[in-house]
Amino acid sequence: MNCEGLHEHLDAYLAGALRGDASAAVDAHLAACAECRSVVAVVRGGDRPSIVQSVLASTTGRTCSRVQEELAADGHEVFLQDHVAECAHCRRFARALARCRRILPELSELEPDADFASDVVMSTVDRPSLRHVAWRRAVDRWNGWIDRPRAARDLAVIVTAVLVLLTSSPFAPFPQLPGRALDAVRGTVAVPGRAADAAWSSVVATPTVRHHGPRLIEELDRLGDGLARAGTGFLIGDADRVVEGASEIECGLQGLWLGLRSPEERLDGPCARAPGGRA
Amino acid sequence: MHDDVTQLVRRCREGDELAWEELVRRFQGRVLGLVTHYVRSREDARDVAQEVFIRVHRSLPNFEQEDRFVPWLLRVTRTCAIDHTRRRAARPPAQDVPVENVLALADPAPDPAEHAERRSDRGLVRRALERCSELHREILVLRDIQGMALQDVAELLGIPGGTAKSRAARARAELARAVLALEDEEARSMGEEGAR
Repeated sequence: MNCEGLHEHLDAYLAGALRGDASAAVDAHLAACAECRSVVAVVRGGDRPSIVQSVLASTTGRTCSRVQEELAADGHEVFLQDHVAECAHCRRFARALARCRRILPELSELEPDADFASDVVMSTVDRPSLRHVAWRRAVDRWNGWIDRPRAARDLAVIVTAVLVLLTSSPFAPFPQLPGRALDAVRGTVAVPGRAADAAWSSVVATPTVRHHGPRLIEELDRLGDGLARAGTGFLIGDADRVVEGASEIECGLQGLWLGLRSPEERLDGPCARAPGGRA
Repeated sequence: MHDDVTQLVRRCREGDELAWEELVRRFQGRVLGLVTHYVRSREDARDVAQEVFIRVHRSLPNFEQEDRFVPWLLRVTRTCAIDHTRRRAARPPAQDVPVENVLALADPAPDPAEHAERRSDRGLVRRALERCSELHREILVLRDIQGMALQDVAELLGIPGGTAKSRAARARAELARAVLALEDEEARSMGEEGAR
Protein backbone atom coordinates (compact mmCIF):
# COMPACT_ATOMS: atom_id res chain seq x y z
CA MET A 1 0.00 0.00 0.00
CA ASN A 2 1.24 3.48 -0.82
CA CYS A 3 0.43 6.79 0.85
CA GLU A 4 -2.54 7.52 -1.46
CA GLY A 5 -4.04 4.11 -0.74
CA LEU A 6 -3.75 4.82 2.98
CA HIS A 7 -5.54 8.18 2.66
CA GLU A 8 -8.40 6.40 0.91
CA HIS A 9 -8.78 3.97 3.78
CA LEU A 10 -7.91 6.37 6.58
CA ASP A 11 -11.45 7.19 7.78
CA ALA A 12 -12.49 3.53 7.83
CA TYR A 13 -9.24 2.61 9.61
CA LEU A 14 -9.67 5.27 12.32
CA ALA A 15 -13.31 4.24 12.84
CA GLY A 16 -12.12 0.64 13.35
CA ALA A 17 -14.22 -0.52 10.38
CA LEU A 18 -11.30 -1.95 8.40
CA ARG A 19 -10.89 -5.73 8.57
CA GLY A 20 -8.52 -8.47 7.41
CA ASP A 21 -5.94 -7.78 4.67
CA ALA A 22 -6.82 -4.12 4.25
CA SER A 23 -6.23 -3.45 7.95
CA ALA A 24 -2.95 -5.40 7.89
CA ALA A 25 -1.81 -3.46 4.79
CA VAL A 26 -2.51 -0.11 6.53
CA ASP A 27 -0.60 -1.26 9.63
CA ALA A 28 2.35 -2.36 7.45
CA HIS A 29 2.41 0.97 5.61
CA LEU A 30 2.20 2.96 8.84
CA ALA A 31 5.10 0.97 10.25
CA ALA A 32 7.17 1.94 7.25
CA CYS A 33 6.00 5.52 6.53
CA ALA A 34 6.75 8.22 9.12
CA GLU A 35 4.78 10.88 7.24
CA CYS A 36 1.52 8.84 7.29
CA ARG A 37 2.11 8.03 10.98
CA SER A 38 2.19 11.75 11.72
CA VAL A 39 -1.06 12.25 9.74
CA VAL A 40 -2.78 9.52 11.73
CA ALA A 41 -1.42 10.99 14.97
CA VAL A 42 -2.81 14.43 14.10
CA VAL A 43 -6.25 13.06 13.27
CA ARG A 44 -6.35 10.79 16.30
CA GLY A 45 -5.09 13.36 18.67
CA GLY A 46 -2.27 11.66 20.53
CA ASP A 47 -0.31 14.15 22.59
CA ARG A 48 -1.84 17.05 20.73
CA PRO A 49 -5.58 17.79 20.43
CA SER A 50 -7.44 15.88 17.69
CA ILE A 51 -9.03 17.68 14.77
CA VAL A 52 -12.49 17.32 16.35
CA GLN A 53 -11.23 18.74 19.63
CA SER A 54 -9.52 21.61 17.85
CA VAL A 55 -12.68 22.42 15.90
CA LEU A 56 -14.83 22.23 19.05
CA ALA A 57 -12.35 24.39 20.95
CA SER A 58 -12.73 27.15 18.37
CA THR A 59 -16.52 26.77 17.92
CA THR A 60 -18.83 25.41 20.66
CA GLY A 61 -16.19 24.57 23.26
CA ARG A 62 -15.88 21.21 25.02
CA THR A 63 -19.20 19.36 25.16
CA CYS A 64 -18.33 16.82 27.85
CA SER A 65 -20.71 18.10 30.54
CA ARG A 66 -23.57 18.26 28.04
CA VAL A 67 -22.74 14.76 26.78
CA GLN A 68 -22.69 13.44 30.34
CA GLU A 69 -26.11 14.87 31.11
CA GLU A 70 -27.45 13.40 27.88
CA LEU A 71 -25.96 10.03 28.79
CA ALA A 72 -27.68 10.23 32.17
CA ALA A 73 -31.09 11.04 30.62
CA ASP A 74 -33.77 8.42 30.25
CA GLY A 75 -33.25 7.86 26.53
CA HIS A 76 -30.00 9.26 25.14
CA GLU A 77 -28.90 10.01 21.59
CA VAL A 78 -27.07 7.31 19.66
CA PHE A 79 -24.53 9.73 18.19
CA LEU A 80 -23.08 10.36 21.67
CA GLN A 81 -21.26 7.05 21.28
CA ASP A 82 -18.68 8.63 18.93
CA HIS A 83 -17.84 11.23 21.56
CA VAL A 84 -17.67 8.63 24.30
CA ALA A 85 -15.44 6.38 22.19
CA GLU A 86 -12.95 9.18 21.74
CA CYS A 87 -13.13 10.95 25.12
CA ALA A 88 -11.49 9.00 27.94
CA HIS A 89 -13.11 11.22 30.59
CA CYS A 90 -16.64 10.60 29.26
CA ARG A 91 -15.88 6.90 28.77
CA ARG A 92 -15.06 6.60 32.44
CA PHE A 93 -18.16 8.59 33.31
CA ALA A 94 -20.31 6.28 31.13
CA ARG A 95 -18.88 3.22 32.90
CA ALA A 96 -19.66 4.71 36.33
CA LEU A 97 -23.15 5.62 35.14
CA ALA A 98 -23.78 2.08 33.86
CA ARG A 99 -22.66 0.71 37.22
CA CYS A 100 -25.05 3.05 39.06
CA ARG A 101 -27.93 2.07 36.77
CA ARG A 102 -27.22 -1.59 37.46
CA ILE A 103 -26.90 -1.26 41.22
CA LEU A 104 -29.59 1.30 42.10
CA PRO A 105 -32.59 -1.06 41.62
CA GLU A 106 -30.88 -3.54 43.96
CA LEU A 107 -31.18 -0.96 46.75
CA SER A 108 -34.98 -0.83 46.58
CA GLU A 109 -35.57 -3.37 49.32
CA LEU A 110 -34.18 -3.70 52.77
CA GLU A 111 -34.56 -6.98 54.61
CA PRO A 112 -36.66 -6.29 57.70
CA ASP A 113 -36.24 -8.28 60.87
CA ALA A 114 -38.17 -11.55 61.11
CA ASP A 115 -40.85 -10.16 63.44
CA PHE A 116 -41.72 -7.09 61.40
CA ALA A 117 -44.66 -8.50 59.39
CA SER A 118 -46.19 -10.26 62.38
CA ASP A 119 -45.84 -7.07 64.48
CA VAL A 120 -47.65 -5.09 61.79
CA VAL A 121 -50.40 -7.69 61.52
CA MET A 122 -50.76 -7.78 65.30
CA SER A 123 -51.02 -4.02 65.55
CA THR A 124 -53.65 -3.88 62.81
CA VAL A 125 -55.63 -6.84 64.17
CA ASP A 126 -56.28 -4.84 67.35
CA ARG A 127 -57.87 -2.21 65.19
CA PRO A 128 -61.30 -2.66 63.64
CA SER A 129 -61.07 -5.17 60.78
CA LEU A 130 -61.35 -3.93 57.21
CA ARG A 131 -64.85 -5.43 56.94
CA HIS A 132 -65.84 -3.75 60.18
CA VAL A 133 -64.44 -0.47 58.95
CA ALA A 134 -66.50 -0.80 55.75
CA TRP A 135 -69.62 -1.46 57.84
CA ARG A 136 -68.86 1.51 60.08
CA ARG A 137 -68.48 3.70 57.03
CA ALA A 138 -71.87 2.54 55.74
CA VAL A 139 -73.46 3.29 59.14
CA ASP A 140 -71.78 6.71 59.27
CA ARG A 141 -73.05 7.50 55.80
CA TRP A 142 -76.58 6.45 56.80
CA ASN A 143 -76.42 8.54 59.97
CA GLY A 144 -75.17 11.51 58.00
CA TRP A 145 -78.10 11.14 55.63
CA ILE A 146 -80.77 10.58 58.26
CA ASP A 147 -79.56 13.48 60.44
CA ARG A 148 -80.37 15.99 57.73
CA PRO A 149 -83.41 18.22 58.44
CA ARG A 150 -85.10 17.03 55.24
CA ALA A 151 -84.63 13.32 55.96
CA ALA A 152 -88.27 12.84 57.12
CA ARG A 153 -89.65 14.49 54.00
CA ASP A 154 -87.31 12.44 51.76
CA LEU A 155 -88.34 9.24 53.51
CA ALA A 156 -92.02 10.16 53.10
CA VAL A 157 -91.50 10.76 49.37
CA ILE A 158 -89.71 7.42 48.99
CA VAL A 159 -92.36 5.48 50.96
CA THR A 160 -95.17 7.16 48.98
CA ALA A 161 -93.48 6.36 45.69
CA VAL A 162 -93.03 2.71 46.73
CA LEU A 163 -96.68 2.46 47.83
CA VAL A 164 -97.90 4.02 44.58
CA LEU A 165 -95.75 1.61 42.58
CA LEU A 166 -97.04 -1.37 44.58
CA THR A 167 -100.73 -0.46 44.55
CA SER A 168 -101.65 2.09 41.90
CA SER A 169 -99.32 1.77 38.93
CA PRO A 170 -100.54 -0.12 35.81
CA PHE A 171 -98.45 -3.15 36.76
CA ALA A 172 -98.97 -2.94 40.52
CA PRO A 173 -98.78 -6.36 42.20
CA PHE A 174 -101.28 -5.37 44.95
CA PRO A 175 -103.97 -3.20 43.33
CA GLN A 176 -106.69 -4.21 45.83
CA LEU A 177 -104.67 -3.34 48.91
CA PRO A 178 -105.86 0.27 49.46
CA GLY A 179 -109.54 -0.71 49.13
CA ARG A 180 -109.17 -3.58 51.57
CA ALA A 181 -107.29 -1.43 54.05
CA LEU A 182 -110.04 1.17 53.87
CA ASP A 183 -112.70 -1.52 54.36
CA ALA A 184 -110.84 -2.90 57.35
CA VAL A 185 -110.52 0.55 58.92
CA ARG A 186 -114.22 1.28 58.41
CA GLY A 187 -115.15 -2.18 59.64
CA THR A 188 -117.32 -2.66 56.61
CA VAL A 189 -117.30 -5.48 54.13
CA ALA A 190 -116.34 -5.08 50.50
CA VAL A 191 -118.94 -4.37 47.82
CA PRO A 192 -120.85 -7.61 47.18
CA GLY A 193 -120.48 -9.15 43.79
CA ARG A 194 -116.75 -8.39 43.42
CA ALA A 195 -115.31 -11.86 43.02
CA ALA A 196 -111.76 -10.79 43.93
CA ASP A 197 -112.99 -9.47 47.30
CA ALA A 198 -115.13 -12.44 48.12
CA ALA A 199 -112.53 -14.16 50.31
CA TRP A 200 -111.70 -10.94 52.16
CA SER A 201 -115.38 -10.18 52.66
CA SER A 202 -115.92 -13.55 54.20
CA VAL A 203 -113.08 -12.91 56.65
CA VAL A 204 -114.29 -9.45 57.58
CA ALA A 205 -117.85 -10.74 57.95
CA THR A 206 -116.96 -13.40 60.52
CA PRO A 207 -118.35 -12.81 64.04
CA THR A 208 -114.84 -12.72 65.53
CA VAL A 209 -113.69 -9.87 63.33
CA ARG A 210 -116.98 -8.03 63.80
CA HIS A 211 -116.65 -8.48 67.56
CA HIS A 212 -112.94 -7.62 67.95
CA GLY A 213 -112.41 -5.40 64.90
CA PRO A 214 -113.22 -1.89 66.23
CA ARG A 215 -111.29 -2.45 69.44
CA LEU A 216 -108.25 -3.82 67.59
CA ILE A 217 -108.30 -0.92 65.14
CA GLU A 218 -108.41 1.47 68.09
CA GLU A 219 -105.36 -0.19 69.67
CA LEU A 220 -103.54 -0.33 66.34
CA ASP A 221 -104.21 3.38 65.98
CA ARG A 222 -102.65 3.92 69.40
CA LEU A 223 -99.65 1.79 68.42
CA GLY A 224 -99.28 3.80 65.21
CA ASP A 225 -99.41 7.05 67.22
CA GLY A 226 -96.67 5.75 69.50
CA LEU A 227 -94.46 4.73 66.57
CA ALA A 228 -94.93 8.09 64.87
CA ARG A 229 -94.20 9.99 68.09
CA ALA A 230 -91.07 7.93 68.88
CA GLY A 231 -89.86 8.15 65.27
CA THR A 232 -90.32 11.93 65.14
CA GLY A 233 -88.58 12.27 68.50
CA PHE A 234 -85.66 10.20 67.21
CA LEU A 235 -85.39 12.23 64.00
CA ILE A 236 -85.41 15.63 65.71
CA GLY A 237 -83.33 14.40 68.65
CA ASP A 238 -86.06 15.02 71.25
CA ALA A 239 -85.52 12.39 73.98
CA ASP A 240 -88.77 13.24 75.84
CA ARG A 241 -90.83 12.63 72.75
CA VAL A 242 -89.06 9.30 72.17
CA VAL A 243 -89.92 8.24 75.76
CA GLU A 244 -93.56 9.31 75.29
CA GLY A 245 -93.72 7.39 72.02
CA ALA A 246 -92.20 4.30 73.63
CA SER A 247 -94.78 4.31 76.45
CA GLU A 248 -97.56 4.79 73.86
CA ILE A 249 -96.23 1.77 71.94
CA GLU A 250 -96.17 -0.26 75.13
CA CYS A 251 -99.78 0.72 75.90
CA GLY A 252 -100.82 -0.10 72.33
CA LEU A 253 -99.31 -3.57 72.58
CA GLN A 254 -100.96 -4.17 75.97
CA GLY A 255 -104.26 -2.93 74.57
CA LEU A 256 -103.97 -5.26 71.57
CA TRP A 257 -103.34 -8.20 73.85
CA LEU A 258 -106.27 -7.29 76.10
CA GLY A 259 -108.52 -6.54 73.13
CA LEU A 260 -107.91 -9.99 71.69
CA ARG A 261 -108.88 -11.66 75.00
CA SER A 262 -111.81 -9.47 76.04
CA PRO A 263 -112.77 -6.54 73.82
CA GLU A 264 -114.94 -4.87 76.43
CA GLU A 265 -112.25 -4.68 79.09
CA ARG A 266 -110.23 -1.45 79.18
CA LEU A 267 -106.68 -0.82 80.31
CA ASP A 268 -106.27 1.05 83.55
CA GLY A 269 -103.35 2.85 85.18
CA PRO A 270 -101.09 5.00 83.00
CA CYS A 271 -102.51 3.40 79.84
CA ALA A 272 -106.10 4.35 80.58
CA ARG A 273 -107.53 6.35 77.68
CA ALA A 274 -108.16 10.01 78.33
CA PRO A 275 -111.58 11.35 77.33
CA GLY A 276 -110.04 12.93 74.24
CA GLY A 277 -108.87 9.54 73.05
CA ARG A 278 -105.23 10.11 74.08
CA ALA A 279 -103.54 8.46 77.03
CA MET B 1 -47.27 -9.57 39.40
CA HIS B 2 -49.24 -6.39 38.71
CA ASP B 3 -52.60 -8.21 38.44
CA ASP B 4 -51.58 -10.30 41.39
CA VAL B 5 -51.16 -7.19 43.55
CA THR B 6 -54.47 -5.76 42.30
CA GLN B 7 -56.19 -9.00 43.26
CA LEU B 8 -54.50 -8.96 46.66
CA VAL B 9 -55.57 -5.36 47.30
CA ARG B 10 -59.14 -6.19 46.29
CA ARG B 11 -59.23 -9.09 48.73
CA CYS B 12 -57.83 -6.83 51.47
CA ARG B 13 -60.59 -4.30 50.82
CA GLU B 14 -63.14 -7.07 51.16
CA GLY B 15 -61.78 -7.74 54.64
CA ASP B 16 -59.56 -10.77 53.94
CA GLU B 17 -57.02 -10.72 56.80
CA LEU B 18 -54.81 -13.37 55.19
CA ALA B 19 -54.50 -11.25 52.06
CA TRP B 20 -53.55 -8.32 54.28
CA GLU B 21 -50.74 -10.32 55.88
CA GLU B 22 -49.48 -11.40 52.45
CA LEU B 23 -49.55 -7.77 51.30
CA VAL B 24 -47.49 -6.70 54.33
CA ARG B 25 -44.98 -9.51 53.76
CA ARG B 26 -44.64 -8.67 50.10
CA PHE B 27 -44.05 -4.94 50.50
CA GLN B 28 -42.30 -4.74 53.88
CA GLY B 29 -38.79 -4.74 52.32
CA ARG B 30 -39.69 -2.05 49.84
CA VAL B 31 -41.35 0.19 52.41
CA LEU B 32 -38.45 -0.21 54.81
CA GLY B 33 -36.00 0.43 51.94
CA LEU B 34 -37.70 3.70 51.05
CA VAL B 35 -38.14 4.80 54.66
CA THR B 36 -34.42 4.25 55.30
CA HIS B 37 -33.55 6.85 52.68
CA TYR B 38 -35.37 9.49 54.72
CA VAL B 39 -35.00 8.22 58.28
CA ARG B 40 -31.49 7.37 59.42
CA SER B 41 -32.08 5.47 62.64
CA ARG B 42 -32.79 1.76 62.23
CA GLU B 43 -35.29 1.71 65.09
CA ASP B 44 -37.06 4.82 63.84
CA ALA B 45 -37.19 3.39 60.30
CA ARG B 46 -38.88 0.26 61.61
CA ASP B 47 -41.43 2.31 63.55
CA VAL B 48 -42.15 4.51 60.56
CA ALA B 49 -42.55 1.46 58.26
CA GLN B 50 -45.00 0.01 60.77
CA GLU B 51 -46.89 3.31 60.88
CA VAL B 52 -47.04 3.24 57.06
CA PHE B 53 -48.79 -0.12 57.09
CA ILE B 54 -51.18 0.96 59.85
CA ARG B 55 -52.07 4.05 57.84
CA VAL B 56 -52.52 1.92 54.71
CA HIS B 57 -54.78 -0.48 56.66
CA ARG B 58 -56.90 2.44 57.81
CA SER B 59 -57.15 4.04 54.35
CA LEU B 60 -57.58 0.87 52.31
CA PRO B 61 -61.42 0.86 52.51
CA ASN B 62 -61.43 4.32 50.88
CA PHE B 63 -58.78 3.42 48.29
CA GLU B 64 -60.52 2.66 45.02
CA GLN B 65 -57.73 2.63 42.41
CA GLU B 66 -56.67 -0.93 43.14
CA ASP B 67 -54.39 -1.13 40.10
CA ARG B 68 -52.41 1.90 41.34
CA PHE B 69 -51.57 0.46 44.72
CA VAL B 70 -47.76 0.57 44.49
CA PRO B 71 -47.45 4.28 43.63
CA TRP B 72 -49.98 5.02 46.38
CA LEU B 73 -48.05 2.90 48.89
CA LEU B 74 -44.80 4.70 48.00
CA ARG B 75 -46.59 8.04 48.35
CA VAL B 76 -47.90 7.12 51.82
CA THR B 77 -44.43 5.88 52.78
CA ARG B 78 -42.79 9.11 51.68
CA THR B 79 -45.38 11.20 53.53
CA CYS B 80 -44.93 9.20 56.75
CA ALA B 81 -41.15 9.37 56.51
CA ILE B 82 -41.15 13.13 55.88
CA ASP B 83 -43.64 13.66 58.73
CA HIS B 84 -41.31 11.71 60.99
CA THR B 85 -38.21 13.65 59.98
CA ARG B 86 -40.09 16.92 60.57
CA ARG B 87 -41.20 15.76 64.00
CA ARG B 88 -37.68 14.56 64.67
CA ALA B 89 -36.16 17.85 63.59
CA ALA B 90 -38.15 19.55 66.34
CA ARG B 91 -36.08 17.69 68.97
CA PRO B 92 -32.39 16.77 68.80
CA PRO B 93 -31.69 13.08 67.96
CA ALA B 94 -30.44 10.93 70.83
CA GLN B 95 -27.98 8.86 68.81
CA ASP B 96 -28.39 7.99 65.15
CA VAL B 97 -26.75 5.00 63.50
CA PRO B 98 -25.09 6.02 60.21
CA VAL B 99 -27.08 4.82 57.20
CA GLU B 100 -24.21 2.74 55.82
CA ASN B 101 -24.15 0.59 58.93
CA VAL B 102 -27.90 0.22 58.82
CA LEU B 103 -27.88 -0.94 55.23
CA ALA B 104 -24.84 -3.18 55.64
CA LEU B 105 -26.56 -5.07 58.45
CA ALA B 106 -29.38 -6.18 56.21
CA ASP B 107 -27.51 -7.19 53.03
CA PRO B 108 -28.42 -10.72 51.98
CA ALA B 109 -25.37 -12.86 51.14
CA PRO B 110 -25.98 -15.66 48.62
CA ASP B 111 -22.40 -16.34 47.49
CA PRO B 112 -19.41 -15.02 49.51
CA ALA B 113 -17.23 -14.04 46.51
CA GLU B 114 -20.04 -12.50 44.49
CA HIS B 115 -21.39 -10.93 47.63
CA ALA B 116 -18.07 -9.26 48.42
CA GLU B 117 -17.87 -7.85 44.89
CA ARG B 118 -21.45 -6.66 44.86
CA ARG B 119 -21.12 -5.35 48.33
CA SER B 120 -18.15 -3.20 47.46
CA ASP B 121 -19.98 -1.88 44.38
CA ARG B 122 -23.14 -1.32 46.39
CA GLY B 123 -21.19 0.32 49.17
CA LEU B 124 -19.55 2.67 46.69
CA VAL B 125 -22.88 3.65 45.11
CA ARG B 126 -24.47 4.12 48.53
CA ARG B 127 -21.65 6.36 49.69
CA ALA B 128 -21.93 8.29 46.42
CA LEU B 129 -25.69 8.62 47.00
CA GLU B 130 -24.98 10.16 50.40
CA ARG B 131 -22.88 12.82 48.69
CA CYS B 132 -25.66 13.86 46.32
CA SER B 133 -27.84 16.82 47.15
CA GLU B 134 -31.13 16.16 48.96
CA LEU B 135 -33.12 17.10 45.87
CA HIS B 136 -31.19 14.75 43.59
CA ARG B 137 -31.07 11.91 46.10
CA GLU B 138 -34.84 11.92 46.46
CA ILE B 139 -35.50 11.70 42.73
CA LEU B 140 -32.90 8.91 42.40
CA VAL B 141 -34.57 7.00 45.22
CA LEU B 142 -38.02 7.30 43.69
CA ARG B 143 -37.19 6.93 40.02
CA ASP B 144 -34.16 4.62 39.81
CA ILE B 145 -34.24 2.74 43.11
CA GLN B 146 -37.99 2.30 43.56
CA GLY B 147 -38.59 2.24 39.79
CA MET B 148 -41.56 4.60 39.80
CA ALA B 149 -42.84 5.90 36.46
CA LEU B 150 -41.63 9.39 35.60
CA GLN B 151 -45.20 10.72 35.60
CA ASP B 152 -45.84 9.29 39.08
CA VAL B 153 -42.61 10.82 40.39
CA ALA B 154 -43.56 14.20 38.93
CA GLU B 155 -47.01 13.97 40.50
CA LEU B 156 -45.58 12.93 43.86
CA LEU B 157 -43.06 15.76 43.95
CA GLY B 158 -45.55 18.26 42.52
CA ILE B 159 -43.38 19.22 39.53
CA PRO B 160 -43.98 19.07 35.75
CA GLY B 161 -42.99 15.86 33.92
CA GLY B 162 -40.24 17.63 31.94
CA THR B 163 -38.69 19.01 35.12
CA ALA B 164 -38.73 15.55 36.69
CA LYS B 165 -37.01 14.08 33.63
CA SER B 166 -34.24 16.67 33.50
CA ARG B 167 -33.79 16.58 37.28
CA ALA B 168 -33.43 12.78 37.14
CA ALA B 169 -30.76 13.12 34.42
CA ARG B 170 -28.83 15.72 36.44
CA ALA B 171 -29.14 13.56 39.54
CA ARG B 172 -27.71 10.50 37.75
CA ALA B 173 -24.86 12.61 36.41
CA GLU B 174 -24.13 13.89 39.92
CA LEU B 175 -24.19 10.34 41.26
CA ALA B 176 -21.82 9.05 38.56
CA ARG B 177 -19.43 11.95 39.24
CA ALA B 178 -19.60 11.19 42.96
CA VAL B 179 -18.75 7.54 42.20
CA LEU B 180 -15.74 8.65 40.15
CA ALA B 181 -14.63 11.06 42.88
CA LEU B 182 -14.86 8.28 45.47
CA GLU B 183 -12.86 5.95 43.22
CA ASP B 184 -10.17 8.59 42.82
CA GLU B 185 -10.06 9.16 46.58
CA GLU B 186 -9.74 5.44 47.22
CA ALA B 187 -6.99 5.11 44.61
CA ARG B 188 -5.11 8.04 46.18
CA SER B 189 -5.39 6.66 49.69
CA MET B 190 -4.23 3.24 48.49
CA GLY B 191 -1.27 4.90 46.72
CA GLU B 192 -0.34 6.74 49.92
CA GLU B 193 -0.52 3.52 51.92
CA GLY B 194 1.67 1.80 49.32
CA ALA B 195 4.23 4.62 49.50
CA ARG B 196 4.45 4.15 53.28
